Parts: sequence; structure tokens; C-alpha cells
Amino acid sequence: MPLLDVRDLSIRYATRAGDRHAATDVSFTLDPGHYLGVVGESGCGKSTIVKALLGILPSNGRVHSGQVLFDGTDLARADESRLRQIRWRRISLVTQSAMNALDPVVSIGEQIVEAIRTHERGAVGAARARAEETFEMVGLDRSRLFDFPHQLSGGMRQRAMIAMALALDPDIVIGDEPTTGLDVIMQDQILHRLKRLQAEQHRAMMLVTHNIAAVTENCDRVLVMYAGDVMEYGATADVFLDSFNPYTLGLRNAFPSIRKTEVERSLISIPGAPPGLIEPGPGCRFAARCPFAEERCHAETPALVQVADAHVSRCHFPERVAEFRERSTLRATWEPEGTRQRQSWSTLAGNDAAVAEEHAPSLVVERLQTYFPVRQSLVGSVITRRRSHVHAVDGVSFELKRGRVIGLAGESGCGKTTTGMTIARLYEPTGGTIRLGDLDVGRLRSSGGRTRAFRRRVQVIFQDPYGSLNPRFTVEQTVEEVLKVHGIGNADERRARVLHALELVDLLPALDYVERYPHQLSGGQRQRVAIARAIALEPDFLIADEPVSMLDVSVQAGILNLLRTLVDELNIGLLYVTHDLSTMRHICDEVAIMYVGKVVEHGPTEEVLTRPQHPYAKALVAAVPVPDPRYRRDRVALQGEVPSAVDPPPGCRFASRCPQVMDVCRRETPALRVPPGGAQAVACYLFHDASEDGARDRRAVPAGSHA
Amino acid sequence: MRRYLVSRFAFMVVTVYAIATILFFLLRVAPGDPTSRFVNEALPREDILALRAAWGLEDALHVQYLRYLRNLTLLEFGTSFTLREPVAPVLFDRIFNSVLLLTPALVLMTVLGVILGAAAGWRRGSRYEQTIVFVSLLGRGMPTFFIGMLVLMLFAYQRQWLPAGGMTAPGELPGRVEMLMSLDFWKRMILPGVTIIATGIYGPMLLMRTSIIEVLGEDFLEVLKAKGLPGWRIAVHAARNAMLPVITSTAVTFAFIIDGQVIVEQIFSWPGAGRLIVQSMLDRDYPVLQAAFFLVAVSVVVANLIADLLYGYLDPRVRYD
Amino acid sequence: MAGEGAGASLAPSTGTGDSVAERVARAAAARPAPGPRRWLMERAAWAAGTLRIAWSDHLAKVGIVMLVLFLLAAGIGPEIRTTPPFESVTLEDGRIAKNLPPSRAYPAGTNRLGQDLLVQLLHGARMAIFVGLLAAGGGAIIGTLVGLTAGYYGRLVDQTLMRVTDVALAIPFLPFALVFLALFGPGLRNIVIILALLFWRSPARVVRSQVLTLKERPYIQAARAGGAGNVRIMFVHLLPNLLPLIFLYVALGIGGAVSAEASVSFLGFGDPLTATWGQILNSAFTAGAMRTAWWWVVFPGLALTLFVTSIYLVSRGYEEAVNPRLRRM
Repeated sequence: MPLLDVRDLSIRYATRAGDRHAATDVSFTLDPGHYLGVVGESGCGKSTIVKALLGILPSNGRVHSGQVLFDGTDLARADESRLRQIRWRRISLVTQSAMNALDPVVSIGEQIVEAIRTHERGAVGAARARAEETFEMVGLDRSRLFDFPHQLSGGMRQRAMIAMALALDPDIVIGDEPTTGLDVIMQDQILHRLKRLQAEQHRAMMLVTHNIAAVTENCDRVLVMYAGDVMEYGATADVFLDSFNPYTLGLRNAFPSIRKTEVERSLISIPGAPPGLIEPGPGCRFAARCPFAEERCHAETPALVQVADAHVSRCHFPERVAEFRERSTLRATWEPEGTRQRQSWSTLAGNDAAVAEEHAPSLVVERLQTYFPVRQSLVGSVITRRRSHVHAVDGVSFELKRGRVIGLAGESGCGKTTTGMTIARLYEPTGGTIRLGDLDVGRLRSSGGRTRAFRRRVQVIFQDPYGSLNPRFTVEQTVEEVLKVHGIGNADERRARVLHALELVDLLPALDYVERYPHQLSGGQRQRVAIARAIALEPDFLIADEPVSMLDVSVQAGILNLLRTLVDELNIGLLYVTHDLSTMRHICDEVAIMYVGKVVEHGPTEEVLTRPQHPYAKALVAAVPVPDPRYRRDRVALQGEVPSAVDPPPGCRFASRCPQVMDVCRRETPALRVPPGGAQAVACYLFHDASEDGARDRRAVPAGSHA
Repeated sequence: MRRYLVSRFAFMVVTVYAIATILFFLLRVAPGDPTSRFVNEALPREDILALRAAWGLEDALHVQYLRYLRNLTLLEFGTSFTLREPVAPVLFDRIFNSVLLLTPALVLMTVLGVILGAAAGWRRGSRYEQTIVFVSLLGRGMPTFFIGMLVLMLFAYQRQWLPAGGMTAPGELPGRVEMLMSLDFWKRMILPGVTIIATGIYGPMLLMRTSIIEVLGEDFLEVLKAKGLPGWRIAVHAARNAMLPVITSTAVTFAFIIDGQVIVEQIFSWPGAGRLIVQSMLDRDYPVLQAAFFLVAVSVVVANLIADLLYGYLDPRVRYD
Repeated sequence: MAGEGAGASLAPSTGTGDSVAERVARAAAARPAPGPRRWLMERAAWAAGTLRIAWSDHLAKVGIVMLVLFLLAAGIGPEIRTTPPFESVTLEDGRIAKNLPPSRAYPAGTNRLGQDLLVQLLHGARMAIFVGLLAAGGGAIIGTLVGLTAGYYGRLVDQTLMRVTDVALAIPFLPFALVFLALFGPGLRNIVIILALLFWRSPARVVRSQVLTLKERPYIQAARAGGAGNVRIMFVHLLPNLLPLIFLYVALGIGGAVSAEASVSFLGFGDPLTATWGQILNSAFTAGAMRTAWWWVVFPGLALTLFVTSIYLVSRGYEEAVNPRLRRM
């Protein structure tokens, strides 16, 4: 008998515009000791389901129909006092971003004790002892039990949250995006810990996430949701290897992978955007974006059909699955009709682009340093004379050629974004040089003619497509603004350029977009406008800072493909800054991995991502989950936390956590060198002797740039 | 926490110093003969000259400035023109009277405001919340003196329930202890006290309401609910978080309360520092005016400091910065 | 907003082989109405949208109606009832019409000197709007410049300006105003100056904190990456996004300035030859009207209250309209 049996659960939110059907007829079961994954993009209803299970839907939400059977009770109909007994005691929750999930003014220990004492009578001492026990179970030091949430790092808070979820030994633990927002290595550690706890204690768990790879690696069964509907449900291997539903097929194509386990594949995005869910009409919710949709799909809602043993799919055509599977791997299947042929700038503008073509200098960065003073109050700065600095970027070198893509990867705080922004001269470099031909970029003043000339050649794309467009500017005004600043053309010429730039980023027909405001665009479209703005000046180089990290998986692929195409066809050099190693595989020629302000490894993508050499690079690459249920990867256990970049001590920055640390690592800072016979440059004394790093000889030329 | 304390205290000193300096230069920059601001012009001419010399008005500006700062630190405010007595004792006596009225009113106002506001935020969309919001919006638009005059009109003149003004009955001069023990004194406090509360309660009330509403949107409340906590325990968590901005704003409100206090003392003939300021302004009694303003400003700064410290105590994020 | 270009959007835009000249010509043809007109229409549409949202809130609706009535009263009232505010009116028998309760002839009654209170109230409305706009506008301009500069340049500029603002915030208004007026002389002009000098503080702080968030917005970074200079970023990119907030503070400032002016006048430091509401109440108070002539107290007090409240109601509705986060479900 299943522990949890959800039957035809429909949830609706009352809004001004009408009822929003957040979840429709969702059914699944959870058996003791099983691990169920729920995947879907934002707004697909997965978090709504979680809230319904605990009876904590917001006040405008209600269960419209269906049952949530748990231990003989229908949780959808149970009264508050019965629900209170079940919450946490029987079903507990690990939410996203524990900073917001914990009361900021109450210590973590008190919050755990509070959870225990709400359900169990007994002495405070006993509850406290239990809290300490669970704290250690998740790998936290018991001395920090009574710290406040803001005193712990993100990963520690998340573990504290898990400790709280386990404190009452519940029957079911639900993880609702439990690792979103954490760094790769921490994400891996948390998921691994959850999996171990689940397996060892034979506990039933649910993992709700947008990350397919996290589900394929951890869960036994998976529920794929789209726009409030269950699209496919079955054993993980069945759903992802023998998918029946076109949406699942599309999702698989769009999800980047650090391994090339399948045939050499390029990412394919799903065109369009999810439908609105306010009073939706009949028909398959995915029909508008499905390449195989027929008339029937738009008119008639498909039922969940049994396609194999314990495997259901919501599609009218389960029998055509062989055809679907074959055609879905082709890009042409998914691409919307009428995609334009790309045309380089030269046909439009003629003269000046041709000149730039001739002596295309590369962007050369040498020993770049960017330090930030640690914020002090006016009074504080009077009291202590010496100022501390964050060494955000500390000696980074590389050469970016036109027509190539260098990926800069690392965990948050490693200095990758600062590197990008310093090269774009949005930050002031502290030391080192940035050279573009004979232009000394590092010495440019913050404004002036030479700076403007530089900006024309190096443009930036930002992470947040919701924030990077001025909400008061139309698309046309946004793109035209940069042209105006640079005094390009008259009004008509500028308009022609704007339209052309929009065409280049596939916003077609461009005239449909010029009058729109950012809030009238989807996330992916906004990011395309941001790219159009960047390329409108015909730059030689682009610096893209996490350009897809805030977009849904199905949209990400399209942006990444667009960037690669622009690089190839417009001969632009791209610096791609990201925390997501999987996406690098799909667009980068070279990859550089940073750790606390320094590049530890740099070389061709293939080499760095499949045969990393530096111990940190190895750990980082090993921590990336792979969206293939067959693949088993070896984790590299890393101890400790990332050290602070404030006035770091000499020696290798990774020495404090390195499994292979030597004495010399704590004294000398290794230079980035290509070991004999190696393909990539590594900054590690496992590969070269400290004596080779002549004190003044720091020619750190990465191998990749010669490729 | 130590650093926080030090920086807050240093800021207080700087602020007081800045205010003193502004005052010094205002007194000298203003049009007219500055002598008149330090020497009573009604005196005979030779006395004026003597006093001028005694006041050091012939000295260089920086010498005057340093002496001025010294006098302020030693609380030597000179002699009142009208009372012909040293300013300090008179002033402290009046400030005591003001504090006597202000403290209970302020405490009652804040506590009531927070409770009513929290309830309104918690029961969002209810009739009760709408009433609170409506009353607050109307009340905030009512100037203190109008409320004061209405209160006087209704409760002291039309229905002679309570005395109209003064701290003691006319003609009587009881000692302090005697006064505090008398029922008459407390009865006299009601109308001005009510007026202060009716002027200032809307600030904490509306802020607590929005603050609660904001906190109710936080994720951690959802988790508290998921933990199975009963509603009232969740409310305690919410209220504790929502209190924080209210505390910061109380300090700002305090500056406004001082404005109200000045007017209330005027309307109800309460012999406090505010009435003294108005009176000395009408009399052009500059030593008193200057000193009274300075001390009132200092009290606002001190109130700010107290609010900051309280905030630091209640919010661990500040405490462990 | 976007409606105007609709006719042009039918034009195909995907041709690949045409010349630059053709493209430019087509682009020109596709251009919508000329700049200023389009700008005006967009603003009008925006204002209408804001008004519509504000209108959907009942309290704001009340506020808007009251405010319009006040504006009308201030604008045409004194032109209809043309008696000078300080002239004593006489009864038919030639006696001065002293202390008359509200009647058909004198709807707000008369005071001890036989002055028509309705006339004084109408002139008071005029003065209130005048004082409010001047003081709040002046304060908002100072505050915006301080806040924008502090927030945008940051670091030492910010620290210095904000400490100055903090010091200014610690100064209690009324006592300071009294000292100031004692030194520089009472009167309306000095009151407006002192009001503006004290009303910049809150806008400065709020604008600064808004600039601090805005300038970290990627679109500001993007503007800089696009080559825009400091002044352009501050006034072309930041200021328009600050305007709703600034308007809000102007509105709140008007309410605050009017009641502050009334307080100062009430204490007797206003201009005795100008009929402001505070001035009327001052004479009512000194004449002891609470005992003898309730209308002398209640009408000006009510006018003041309703005017300030209507400002608050409108700003509140406006705030919810421009800040959707505050909008109630």
C-alpha cells in the first residue's frame, strides 16, 4: 500500500482575471523507501503540489477536486488541527534558499527545538540534544547550533534546514528545489546527502526541481509536469530513456550535459512559451509548442495513457513514439517556420565593418587584478588606518580571439563575473593589462572619446533579462540608445540598424517588436533584445555574464545557439561567464576554471571538461550531475568551505581544501603552466616544480589560445 | 556589536556638534545687529557696551566659536533677558515638565499603535483593517492644534469634564512630589496626553500594518506553518520581525512628536520646554531660545541613539555585523 | 501605447538581398508618428492608466474628488465671492456682522471682527496650494539632486551627503523653524523657505536608496557598457525611473508643508495680513472661539484636515498604481 496516494488533484488560484488552474488532475503515489522526482519548468505547478500536500496553499488557492490520501486521511479535506499533527511530524519540507525559509531573528537551534517541541512533549534539554544530533547527522558542527541564519553560509543553512526536516523522523521528506541557488559542489553534496539519508533510513522522499540531471541521478520514479498537467510518469530510466511524450523529448534535447553520452548533439530549444493558465480551454497544454501537434491536439485534452508497465504519458499518439523519438533529435523539427537567413553586417553598412575585419586584433588580458576595498563606515575608516581588500581577481591572463568562445567558469565569488566586468571596464582594474590592439584598455578613463570607441568594440550581455532592459524604453528605444550615444547615423539609418539587429537575434518579424515594452516580452525574448542591443554597434567582442542562468531550460538552448551562431557568422569573440559547466560544452572553444580570483586550469573545452587535471577542476567537473540515468559518476569529496578572498595568504588558494596538498602549496603560488605533453595549462605543483616558476617569469600563456 | 555601539555613539556626538555649529552661525549670519541676540537692548547704553565686552562679542569669530562650544558643553547658557536668571535651571525645570507629559503619552501611543496596526495587518481585507486604515488616513491629516482645540471644545468647555489647561490649578504652587501625588495633576494630563496620542498614533499603526503584511509574504512563515505551529505562535514570529522597522521609525516620529508637543503645550498652557520656546521667541529672549532649541535637538538625537541600540539588540543581523 | 505602429507592422521584413538604400527607405516608411506627439500620447496614456488604477481604489476616488473640489474652490472661489478677506461686513442695519453663526448669507459664519469666514477659507485654500507646491517642489528638487548625486557617485560623496542628511533629520522641525523665523523675521516667504529647507530630507534618503538599487540594475550597467556617460545615465536613464517616486514625495510634501505652515501660523509666526487656514485658527484660538464660536474653529480645521487627507488618499492610490507590489489582491 502506498504511503501517499494523490488522486486527480486539481488546484486553482482565484485571481482578478479569473481562476488560474495551477494543477490539473495530478495523480501519483509514493511508496515507503521510494524517491520520487517531480520535474518541470517554472510555473508548471510543481510547488503548488507541494503546498497542497502540506495544506499550506496561500489564501487564494484551493483544492478544486481530488484527494491526497495519507495514512487514512484525505489531506485535501482534513481540518487544521489534524493537518497540524501531520505537518513536519509525518511530512516535512526542505525549501529553496534557506535564508528566506528560516526566521532571521531566531537562532537555528531554537527553530529546530521549536519544531520538535511543537509535536512532542518533553524537556527542552532532550529536544536540544536531538537538535544537536540531527545537526551532526547533516555534517554541521554542533557548536554552531545556536548561530543565527545569516551567520552561516548558504550551504550550511541548507544543511541546517535538512537537519530541521529530519528532527522528527518523518515518514516523508519533500525537497522543493532544495539546491537551487547553491554552487555546483555544494549542490552535489546536498543532493548526495539527501540521497544517502533516503537510502540508509529507507525513507520516502520527493525531490521537486527544474534540474533534470538531479532527478535522473537520484530518483526512482519521476513525474514530468507541464503547465499544471502531468505529461509523463514512470520509472526514471523509462521516462528518460524511452520517453513517450513529445514534451519530455523536447526537454531532453534542451537540457545541456557535460558528458557526451549520446551522439554528438547540439542543444535544441522548444519554441514558444508556456500557455497562460487562467480558465484554459480544451486541448493539450503543450500543443502550441509541439512539433507533432495535429488538429485533435488543440481541440481535445489527451488522457494519461498507459504506455508501458507503470509508465503513463499524456499524448494522443503513443503509437507514433518511434517516429517522435527519431524526428525529435533533429533541430529542423523544432525550429519555428520562417527563420531568417542570417546576413552579416557588411551587407548593411558596408565600409567600416570591412576595415575592422582586416587587422582583427585579439583581446589580450595579462595578470589582471581587481581588488575591492572592504566596506567600512566613515568612523571605522578613521579608527583603523589599514584597509582590507577583496582580491576578487588576482592575476588572470588569457587571449580572446575573434570568432572564438572562451568560457570562464567557477563557483560564486570566484571572480569570474568581476573579470568579465573589469575587461568591459565597468570595474576599475587594480593591476595588470587589458589590451585591444594598441589600445590600453586598463588605462582608459571612465568616460571620453577613447572609452567610447572601446565600448563600440566590446559589448556586454548581462545575466538578468528582467533587469537589463530599461522598463521605460521600448525595444526600439533600447537598441537605438546605444546608437545615439555613439552618434551613429540619422534617425532612418538608426531604425534600419535596429530592425536588422532584431532580425539577427531572431525576433521576427522585427517590426512586431519595436514598439513593445520589456514587460510585454518573455524572458527569452528580453534576452534576445539585450543581445540585439549588444550587437547593434557591430562589436568585435562580447562579454556575456551568465546569459541563460535565469531562463527556463527550454529557452536556454535557443539563446546559447544564437550566441554561437553570432560568433561564427559575425566573427565576434565571446567571453562566456558561467557557473554551469554543462552549457560550456555546447558553445565554448576553450574553458578556464577560476577559484578565489585565480585561474587554476585553462585549455580546450574537451580536455578540461573530460580530463581535468587540477584537483579543484577535477572536483568541480565531478560535481556536475549528468542527465542520463545510465551514467554513474565518481564524486570527489571536498572538505571545508571556500576561503575568503579578503587579503588571502600566500600559496595556492586551494591548499586549504586540496586532497593532494603538499608543503610547497602553502608557501608558493603556482603559476599557470602547460605541463610537458599536456593539452591544458594547470596552476598546480603536481604538474610542475616550484623552482620552474621563476619569481619574475610568470609568462602564463594558456595552451588553448594557440589552438 | 562593539563596533556598532562605537559608530552610533560617534555619530551622535558629531550630530550634536553639527547642530551646535549651525546654531552658532545662524545667530551670526542672520540680518540685524547680532548684539541684540546676546544683550538685552532695553539696558542703558554703557551697560550694553560692558556686556558686549563681557560676552566677548568684540573677539575674533573663532575665539567666540570655541568659547561658545565650551559654554554649551558646560551647559552655561547665559542669562535670560526676561527672567533675569541663569537659563539652565529654568530650562531644566521646564524640560522636566515636558518629559512628565511626553513619556506616558509616547509609551501608550507606541504600544497601542503597534497592537492595533499588527491586528490590522494580520486581518488584511477585514472590516476592522479598513476602519483602521480609514481612521489613520483621516487622523494623519488632522493637525495637532485642531485636534487640541476640538478636544478642549468638547471636553473642557461644552462638557466640563476635565480642566482646560495648566499643570496645576491656577494660583497654586505645590512641590513636585505633592503635585505628582495629586489627582488633579493626572486629570490635567489627560487632555494634552490624548491630543498627543491622537496626533501621533497613526505612524506606528500604519507602519506596523504594512510591516506585518510584508512579513506575511516571507517564505519562513510558510515553513513555520509547515512545521505545524499553531496560528498564534506564527503570529509571534511575524510580529517580532515586523517590529524592526517600527523601532527605527519611532526615532523619526520622535522629531514630529516634539513638534506636536510644542503645540500641545501652547494650547493647554502646559509649562514645558515647548511653551518656553514659543514664549522666548515672542519675547526675543535669545539665550533661552538658543538653549532650549539646542537641548530639544539633543533629545531627538538621543532618542535616535536609543532606537538604534534597541534595533541592534533585537536584530541579530545588526548585532553580529 | 504601441498602437500607432500597428499599420506598419504588416510590411514584410525578412528580405535578404535588398540594398541599404531600400532598407533605409522602408525603415523610414515604417516609422510611426513624429517624436514629440508620440511622446505626449504615451505620457497621456500612461497618466490615464495610472489614474484608472488609482480610481479603482475607493479611498483614492474620494481623495481625487475632494482634491478637485479644493482646486476649484481655490481657483474660482475668491473670484465669485469678491469681498476682501479682512474686510468687516455689515448687516443691513449698518452694524458690523460680528460672530454670526453659519447662515445662508454667510455659510461659514463670521468672526469677532465681522469678517466673512467663507472668504477667508477660500483665500486660505489658494494660499495652501501655493505654499504646498512651492515648499514641496523646492524640497523635492533639493532632495532629488542630493539623493541622486549621493546614490550615483557613492563612496565618499555618498557618505558625506548622507551624514549631512542624517544630521538634518535629527533637527526637530517646529523648534528650528521658530529659531529661524525669530532670526530672519516671520512671514510667508521665510516660512516657505524654511519648509523647503526641511522637506528635502526624506526625498533625499528615499531617492538615494532607490538610486542605489537602480544603478545596480543591469540596464544601467548596460547603458554604461553601451558608452553612456555619467550625466546621461543620471538624467536619461535614472531620473525617469525615479519620477513616480519623486511625484509621490511632492504629493506627501504638499500635505506636510500645508500642515506645517498652519502650525507655524497657528503659533502666531505667520503673516497676519494673509488669510491662511493656520492664521484663521490662530485668531480663533487667541479670541477663545472654542467657547463662543464653534464655526470659527471647526470650518478652517476641517478644511485643513480634508485637504491634507485628500492629498494622502491620492498619494496612496498613486503609490499603489506605480508600485504594483503594494496592490492588494
